[in-house]
Amino acid sequence: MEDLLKIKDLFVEYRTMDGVSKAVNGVNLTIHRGESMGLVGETGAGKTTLALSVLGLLPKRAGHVVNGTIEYNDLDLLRKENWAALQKIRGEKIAMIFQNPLTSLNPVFTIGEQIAMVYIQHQNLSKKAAFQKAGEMLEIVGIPAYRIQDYPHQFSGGMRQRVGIAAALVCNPDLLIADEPTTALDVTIQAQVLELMRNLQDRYKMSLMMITHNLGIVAGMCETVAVMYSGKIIEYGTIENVFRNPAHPYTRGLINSLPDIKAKQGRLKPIEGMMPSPMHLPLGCEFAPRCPWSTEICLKQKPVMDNLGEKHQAACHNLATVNLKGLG
Amino acid sequence: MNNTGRRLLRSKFFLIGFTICFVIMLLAIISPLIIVHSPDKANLSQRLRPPDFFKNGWAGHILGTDAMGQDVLTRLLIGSRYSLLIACIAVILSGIIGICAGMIAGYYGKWLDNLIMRLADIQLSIPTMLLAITIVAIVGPSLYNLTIVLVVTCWVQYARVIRGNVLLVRNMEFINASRVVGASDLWIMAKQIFPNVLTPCIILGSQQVGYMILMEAGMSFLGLGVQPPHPSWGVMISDGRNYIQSAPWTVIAPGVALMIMVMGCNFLGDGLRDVFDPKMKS
Amino acid sequence: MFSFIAKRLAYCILVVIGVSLISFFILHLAPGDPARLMLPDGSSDADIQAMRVELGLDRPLITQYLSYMERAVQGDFGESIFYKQSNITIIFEALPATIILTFAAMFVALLISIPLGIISGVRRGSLIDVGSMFFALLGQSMSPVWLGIMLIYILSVSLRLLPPFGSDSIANLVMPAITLGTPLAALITRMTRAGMIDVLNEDYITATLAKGIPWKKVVNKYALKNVLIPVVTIVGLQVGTFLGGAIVTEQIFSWPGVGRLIVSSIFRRDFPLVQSAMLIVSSMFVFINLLVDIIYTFIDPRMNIVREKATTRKTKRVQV
Repeated sequence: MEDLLKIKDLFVEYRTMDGVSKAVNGVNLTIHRGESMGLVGETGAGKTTLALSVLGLLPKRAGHVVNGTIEYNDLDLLRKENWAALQKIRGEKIAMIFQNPLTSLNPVFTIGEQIAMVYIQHQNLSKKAAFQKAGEMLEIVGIPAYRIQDYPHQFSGGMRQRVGIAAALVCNPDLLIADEPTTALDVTIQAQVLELMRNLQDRYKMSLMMITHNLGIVAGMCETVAVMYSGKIIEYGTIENVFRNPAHPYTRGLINSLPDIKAKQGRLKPIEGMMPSPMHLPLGCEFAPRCPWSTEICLKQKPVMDNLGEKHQAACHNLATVNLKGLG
Repeated sequence: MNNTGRRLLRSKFFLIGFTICFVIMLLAIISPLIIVHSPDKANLSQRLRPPDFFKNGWAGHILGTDAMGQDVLTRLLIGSRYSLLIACIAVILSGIIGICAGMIAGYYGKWLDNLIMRLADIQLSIPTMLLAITIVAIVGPSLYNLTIVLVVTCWVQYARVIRGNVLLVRNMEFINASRVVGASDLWIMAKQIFPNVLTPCIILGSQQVGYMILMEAGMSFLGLGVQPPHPSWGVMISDGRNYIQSAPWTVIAPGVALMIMVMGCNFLGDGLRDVFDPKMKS
Repeated sequence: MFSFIAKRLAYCILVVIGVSLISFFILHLAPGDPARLMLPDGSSDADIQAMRVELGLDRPLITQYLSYMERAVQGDFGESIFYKQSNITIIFEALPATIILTFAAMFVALLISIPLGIISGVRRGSLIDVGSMFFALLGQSMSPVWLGIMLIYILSVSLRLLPPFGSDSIANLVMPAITLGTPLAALITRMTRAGMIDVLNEDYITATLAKGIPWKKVVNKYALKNVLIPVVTIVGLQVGTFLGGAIVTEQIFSWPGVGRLIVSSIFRRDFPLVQSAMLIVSSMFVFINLLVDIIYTFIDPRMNIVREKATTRKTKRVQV
């Protein structure tokens, strides 16, 4: 498969009055054309920061890319000289949908305008033509076209998210980054929106980066998964590999903590402890303080990604021991 | 030193504002002790002398003299007593009235709330200056009446803000708990609600002092504020107006003093607001 | 929608009645006789008694008030002692000057403050931001009395650029407009700046940028509308405040508007005129506020609950 987006050695910081928050700490990730990848992690792991960095949308005063490149079509999107190209890519080649449907639509403009603006900007259509096509796009995502002059507050959360999806797909982008698109929605609505996204992905043949903390969604929608912890990718592979044979202790913990409908379990099995604060990262492996398999080297040295075989990598010093012990 | 204190000291706005206000208030209080020239004896041989600044040291006319030959700096200092006293008393009194009205309206609700708020609306429909000068014209201009008028026109702001805050606090659990135990309304209002609405009061108060000073200046200019021979900054600006061409310092000095004081109040209010309640943006 | 307006209108009328009560009874605040108040000091008792009869002050208060209101709703606000003309005529003659001044002041204020506020909000911490915030603070801290006098001194007396008094030409309008408009400009600058900072932090702005819309368009179209909607309300409400602030400004520049009329009348003890002016000006204020409220429901799309909508759309059920 052809490489579409290559993130190399990305380090991102937030500098605030209270200190420096190291949100992304050395991420290497490649998305291929047509691949649907899940990016999993807890709140605060750096997933949204990573997504915003791709499109250059980090908050201007606080967010800083300290190192790394993000390559798309042989262009490093992080470089200042490519700024004009990045502007064109946004919304046209790489699109994004956001987590909170209540706040990600402009309340004083119609939903039609918010979709049509993409047509006007990237395809140079006239206002009339743009609104015409926006209406068609609404139908595709399941909203009647006559509602094109309505305002966001007149829609429910699920419908607003559909509007966001419609706007993102206007130019048939190569890559759609979905930042927790269903987290703020009711469970039943979640299913409908995900169904819609699956259909659209098939129809438009685009790559998908699905950011979520919900393993179920990843299992249902993605081919590959990258697990993020404390600003790093600590495991990556196909769904089968990672879900069946989680190599990293954190991933193991995640899989283990899923309630099993078949087993007669007494209690849930959460992972003890909490993710370290991005302002005070430990010296060695970030997961070591919580890890049941940690050894002395874990506290002192940061692990690197090791190949475990075909399409499976994990970053841990003790992969052999962990795997020997089996799940649980 | 507790957290709030530390945050206050970190706020530049608060520091600058507090310093300005404190220094000016201090000067106002001790002015009778430090002035060199007489504040109310006319000396026509010295009239309209330009500022010496420090050429003659402290004994000279540092900021010049006015049309009656009186030292501008002296009048400025003594005048500050009048301007500030009126403003502070007016703020405190209108605060008391406004807090009571706002608390009653917010706590008891229903018709009492309606009554008080409609009264506020009606009064707010009359432009403040218009109401003030009409009342003063009828009851006669005097320091006492001026202060009363300022109170009458400004209690409304307090009432509204306090009422809003009371409405927020009133529904909290601990109020209901107190009621169940049998605490009287007065006790609840005094001991539990009031401390929670104190903060916006203080913030509003510091802004109001500046506002009152400006009002007094406006009214003194119209001849309905502080009456001669008492000086106030407003009176000085008004008096100096006729000599603006030949002796601009008579107008510039009080105007700048007034501006600095009001700026200080605004800084203070902004600083307090930033520390205590960043959501409250009037 | 119409019931909404009707309700608000009824409320306005109630407020106006309240104002009429205040403006009527304010005359009786004085210790002693309103008639005595209106005549020069040292008038004979007979003169005062004649005045009382003339003004109907010998009747009970309620009767006086009711007949006053009865005449008022028919447009008769009594006669001015000084001008010997119908009050309402005098006031409406002076009103256009005040209205012109008000609009000029608003124009000047908005012209400066909105662009300044936008730039300050977008370029937070820059020199322009710091500078404009400083000037905004100054503008709100200066006494309009002082500002007016200083403007006359600098622009009229020293530089001889503008005429200090009079009302014939635009040149006469400049300084009063600046004096009246400065506090408003300061306020609007701060509001616009704060609003811009808040709005630019919102998710929907990030989402708009993610669609590839250029920054300038995002600021000047998609962010700005959100910022200006509350600003419009404040500006509208300030129109009423101007009617009060104009009093001082008109006095400084001898601008022949309602404000100056009121002040002169006060010193002439022409209280019937003052009373009528208070009632008329306040009523105008109340109705202007109502108008602003109504306009607001039109410009903020979130307020279309209160407006009529085509009902056919609502009946179709849409799958979520």
